[in-house]
Amino acid sequence: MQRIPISSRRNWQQAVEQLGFGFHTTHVPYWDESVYYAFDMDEILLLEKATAELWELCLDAVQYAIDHRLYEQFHIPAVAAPFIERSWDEDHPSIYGRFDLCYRDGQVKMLEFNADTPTSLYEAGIVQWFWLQDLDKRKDQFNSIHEKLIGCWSYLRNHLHPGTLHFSCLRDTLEDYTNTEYLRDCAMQAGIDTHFLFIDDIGWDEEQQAFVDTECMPVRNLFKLYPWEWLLADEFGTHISKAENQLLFIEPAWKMILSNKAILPLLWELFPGHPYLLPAFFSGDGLANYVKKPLLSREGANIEIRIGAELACQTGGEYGEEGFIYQELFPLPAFGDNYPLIGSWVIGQEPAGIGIREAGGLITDNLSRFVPHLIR
Amino acid sequence: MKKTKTIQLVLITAALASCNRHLSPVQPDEPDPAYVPDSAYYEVSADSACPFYPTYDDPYYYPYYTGTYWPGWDFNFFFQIQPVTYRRKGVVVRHIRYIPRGGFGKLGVTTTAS
Repeated sequence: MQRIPISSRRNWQQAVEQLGFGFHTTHVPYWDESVYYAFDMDEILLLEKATAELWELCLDAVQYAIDHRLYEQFHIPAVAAPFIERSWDEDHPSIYGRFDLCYRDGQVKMLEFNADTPTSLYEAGIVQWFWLQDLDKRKDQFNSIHEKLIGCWSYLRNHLHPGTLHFSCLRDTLEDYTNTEYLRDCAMQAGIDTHFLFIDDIGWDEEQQAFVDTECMPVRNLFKLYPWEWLLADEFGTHISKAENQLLFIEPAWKMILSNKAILPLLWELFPGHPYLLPAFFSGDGLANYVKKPLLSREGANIEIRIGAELACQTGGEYGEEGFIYQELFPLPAFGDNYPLIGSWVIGQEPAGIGIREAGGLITDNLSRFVPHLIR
Repeated sequence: MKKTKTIQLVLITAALASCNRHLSPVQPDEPDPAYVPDSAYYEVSADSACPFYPTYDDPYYYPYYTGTYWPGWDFNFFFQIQPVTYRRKGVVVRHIRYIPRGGFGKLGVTTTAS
């Protein structure tokens, strides 16, 4: 993996905006094409293999967590257990997930799995692909995200409840809206009838005992870019059990297990020494250098890195009340002051491509830049 | 690695190309003061998807507005519960129910997806 500085396209803002990519710049650059990462095919095949294998390990871990009812360890409320078990037993539809991987010195290590509400899908699937078309059409990219999304929706179409597939996310976040609309775009191309509404526009019809959309139509299939733990904690969370028989959530409730950092100690317990895993525990005792992560944090919030007795770096945030896990430190590779993290996508059940987030430190947060890649 | 060189977007370009506004990411430790979600609110809907209003005793007139009361929910602030007008029977009128909304989305103001 090489980091290669280049000149950005002269009209790059216009080029990405024409794709509908409106959040390329905040108060700091988010999309950064002044550099790219180049991989050998062998490296890509390794990332693909690791992603496929990690996905299998994760499924085994979910089965184990359910069989042994480890919900308390995951800080998952008891009320969620029936949703989780039902969605798992009935194999409710799942469309995607994103492993965050560290690739350094020829080794791949799983840092975490964004299994419930991963974003940067549009950047990875579309924006970096069109960047490559402008740069060099002869080059390839580890990126079949778009095709696999349409293929996966086509497959899932027959597994949905009859009627519309609703898509929902938070209001006032263009990033979430873009990712959600992109997924809806692919679902439409797969022949699914879709409808978008913001998450706070979902209504509860007491008479029908159903969630309804803005047209009072019952919501039977709901893709929600909104974490399960928030759904359950929200005011309408108590209605989920009443509507559950008639409503499929995507991602399904069992993703609560995989999106929780408690999956990391469990994976290490089940597969100790696995080459793609890092030692992880519910205590930092015995780890010389480690990363302390809240069970439910997002975007690099409330992370601490300790090297020996020293606190090397930390981030603020509102997470942590739910508890922490401790993962052995496997630092991201340094390219000067730039630290790339590989987001490796699983669409359906298959590895589908990567997107790279580059941070100015060892912790990848919501200010980290998205940097495109190609295969040499 | 790439199955096809052709990518078609049927929705995203049209929907978002005009949305080139730049939003600062919401920091976990800096809640966006501009967005505070409403508490659960109530909405009158007369959409045809809602069931018809049930039989009413009066042979000629019926209340146009009605409401369902859930104990503990005060919606006097939003709507007067009394029937406010009457219409001749025979006009297609939908059952107007109060659908609470805003019950999801409150926890999302402090951070975004991952």
